[in-house]
Amino acid sequence: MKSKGQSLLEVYDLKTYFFTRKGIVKAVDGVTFTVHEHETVGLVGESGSGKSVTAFSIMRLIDPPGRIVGGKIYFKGEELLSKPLKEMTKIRGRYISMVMQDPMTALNPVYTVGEQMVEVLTRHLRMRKSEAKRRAIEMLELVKIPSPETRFHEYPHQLSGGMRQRVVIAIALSCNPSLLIADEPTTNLDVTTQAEILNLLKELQEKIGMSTLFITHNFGVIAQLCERVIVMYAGEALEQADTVELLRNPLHPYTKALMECIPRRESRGKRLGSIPGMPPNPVNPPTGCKFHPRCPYAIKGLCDRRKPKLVEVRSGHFVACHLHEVT
Amino acid sequence: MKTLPSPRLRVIKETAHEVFRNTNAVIGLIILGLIIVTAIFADQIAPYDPIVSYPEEALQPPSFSHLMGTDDLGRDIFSRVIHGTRVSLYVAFTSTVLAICIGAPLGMLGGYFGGVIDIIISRITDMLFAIPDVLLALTVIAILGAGINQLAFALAVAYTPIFMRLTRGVALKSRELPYVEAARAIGEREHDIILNYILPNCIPPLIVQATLTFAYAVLAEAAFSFLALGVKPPTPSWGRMLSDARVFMVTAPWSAFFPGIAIFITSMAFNLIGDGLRDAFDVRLRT
Amino acid sequence: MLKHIIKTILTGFLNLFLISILVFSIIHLLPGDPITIMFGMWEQNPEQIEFLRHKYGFDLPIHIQYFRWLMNLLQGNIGESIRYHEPAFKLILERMPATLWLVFGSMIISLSLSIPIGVITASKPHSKRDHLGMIFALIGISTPGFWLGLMLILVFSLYLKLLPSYGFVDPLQNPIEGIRRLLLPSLTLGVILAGTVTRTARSSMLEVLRLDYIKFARLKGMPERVVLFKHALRNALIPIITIAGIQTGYLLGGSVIIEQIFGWPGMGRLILQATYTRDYFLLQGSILVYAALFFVVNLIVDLIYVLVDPRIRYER
Repeated sequence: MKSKGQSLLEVYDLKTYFFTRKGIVKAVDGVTFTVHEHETVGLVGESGSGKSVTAFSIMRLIDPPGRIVGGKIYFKGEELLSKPLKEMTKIRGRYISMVMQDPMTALNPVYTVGEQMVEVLTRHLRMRKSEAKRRAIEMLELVKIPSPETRFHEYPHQLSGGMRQRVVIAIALSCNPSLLIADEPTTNLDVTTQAEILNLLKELQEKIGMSTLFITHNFGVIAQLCERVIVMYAGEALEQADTVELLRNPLHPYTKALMECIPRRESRGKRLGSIPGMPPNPVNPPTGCKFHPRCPYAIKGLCDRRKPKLVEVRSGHFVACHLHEVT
Repeated sequence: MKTLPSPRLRVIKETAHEVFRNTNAVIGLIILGLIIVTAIFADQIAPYDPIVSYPEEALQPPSFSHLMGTDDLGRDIFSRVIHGTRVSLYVAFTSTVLAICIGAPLGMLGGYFGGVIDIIISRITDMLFAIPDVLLALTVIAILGAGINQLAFALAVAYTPIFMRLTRGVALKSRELPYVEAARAIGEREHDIILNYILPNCIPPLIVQATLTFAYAVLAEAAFSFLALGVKPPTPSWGRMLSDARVFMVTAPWSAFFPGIAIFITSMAFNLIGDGLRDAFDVRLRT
Repeated sequence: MLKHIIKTILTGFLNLFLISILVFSIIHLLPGDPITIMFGMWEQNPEQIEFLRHKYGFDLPIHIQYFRWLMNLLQGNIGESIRYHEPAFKLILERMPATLWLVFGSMIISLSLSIPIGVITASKPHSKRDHLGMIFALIGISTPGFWLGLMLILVFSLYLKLLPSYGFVDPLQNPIEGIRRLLLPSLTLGVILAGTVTRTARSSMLEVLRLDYIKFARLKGMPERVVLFKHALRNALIPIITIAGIQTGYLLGGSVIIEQIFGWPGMGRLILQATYTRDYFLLQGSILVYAALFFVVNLIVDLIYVLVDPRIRYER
């Protein structure tokens, strides 16, 4: 793994709310973290914790009734949320790329693989068609797709799920982005293919050196791929640390509980092990610390009243918990 | 002892709620209501007799005594437009209801039972669809001759395949549903299953389609009457009025304008209601 | 895919066959004596009537009549127009180009309006432009076509004297005059048709815009214009084409009235004349030709599907 560079992406107090008929869903409610150059950061949490919404907020692709209501996002020094929306099309796919969860539906069925790859290159890098074709085939080789020249002319429905995900990754990396966001890229694949794709991502990250924000609900993947981890719960980032440090020394009660019931790679959205209680109601979350109703260490009068701030307890290890505030 | 409210009643109430929240539907219902009232009380509302002609007053522009002017025979256009609501509504309702009565059961039976019955019914449906509906109706009129009832029947023939296909589709989907299979497993009689499970599923789309068909029928009646293949004079029909007005269009454009507006408003009212119903049923399905 | 096309063709022929039975029975469903009804206007002599009855085989048993009729039909002979004294098919085929031009022109106007409006309204649902678009569609489907035609004639021909209101000129031979005459009737049918197609375009686009590959296209940094017109539209076209195909039936039917209003010498006017004068041979021929045209249109629609959606090409 390449050594950490300067900070690439800085997210400060990001808030993204969805204004529905049934109430305001605070999907992301004050999230702060940093991703450095050449770094692989994991974003882990249950379904509904706000991981994907965070990713799409960075890309500024939140559809109504959702809206980014607060916070700042700095990418290479530029503040993304104050840019005119049209400027974002120059950043997406070029400097920041994203890979989505379901490879079966990520590609447009009426255009060939090649057409969908070339359009990115001609638009962002202003390549000529022949150049773009060459580069696209290079990328297909990079993601280890056999017979790339043939695949180039094929349609998505002629490819398997694993291959489609490789194509998606190839497209995402074709303009050499500084940051790759991967939103549960292997959840929808079978176990063997999952392992292949994860290995591929690891290799690519070593080869190319882009930063990766890896979103998952699976600690096993985090342990395998990520140098740093951010734990999310109910739209908030509760704990952040280097992976090794977090696994050895989980500080937040939620993180500790997660460790105790490391989930196996089964169905999505399955409630994690034996954390008592219910996931919080997104429209009417608990007061104070959102985890307090399920926390075995909750302090009455404190944890249910005041929201804990994110503080650096050890070097590089941040927690938002009243138990660790006084150090 | 108070009995529990029937779940079906609750569903109807909820749907009605959804419908009334939809502004388009409400507007449509209000307009339709006005039209129906006009049709029923036409004699009282219309200031003049629609049939008697006053040649001295021919082709007068709109004025206080004649709100929409007069036609070439001196008849008050406003009164004729009011009476025209009767013809429009009659043909629209009759043709659609007839089409439903014939088409819906056939489609339902074909879809539910499958097999030979379905093949026959599907063939007939396809055959009817293969001829554009105007021409189908034209053919029937060519056989039966012109007239308001002949027109209603001709349109019914043209609209029957729509309902056949609609209920067939619903029946096909319904018979695969778990609760229908369960009913069959328990041993419920076929006709009970059809009445209690298949039929209720057909009703929402039927109502929506019926409303939209009303809209078409209003336009169709006008068109056929325009071609002198519909309502026979001197009964006022908007389409007929337009054909009479055509010759005098340049000098008396109002005689061609107002009947057309009447057709437009009536058809639009049905369309608004149909849209609102469709949205209301849709919302219920999704939540 | 080839299987699918063959199946469509065979089904179409089956339908045409069934329709032929229907069409054949028109004459025999008439209340009263067919010969008298048809020829009564021109011929009152009872001997002549008997002669005609025998000439046209009305004295034969019905299944033999049908067989004879079908044989004649397959040879391209459906009888002579009673009024014009010419073979019915000849008359119909002479008038067909005019009707085809009208249908074609209307479809072009309709699609040129409804696809852009559908895309634009779908891109911002519940916005002002969406409401405007939907109002346009509502007006389109609620307006009586023939009245719109009359109003257009009133404004553009009679008051403004810009466009002719009568007659047909073959655009292939005289493009400018031809299109001038085609404009108003096509506009009439086209605007009305656009009402329905716009709604379909809009709902189809809305469905497509929800899908993952659209999200991914945006994630790739494609500008919204490209996302809408390249990625979304092509996928949304299938329902639009389906509706356009079905609505061609409406165009064929509606052209009957519009031809009457604009003095357009097409099949529509011919079939109306046939109805008025009880010229049943001509009527039968017309219905068959209309049905055949509709069948061809549906076939073309199927072929267009193949062009638009590669999945169909490889699947069926």
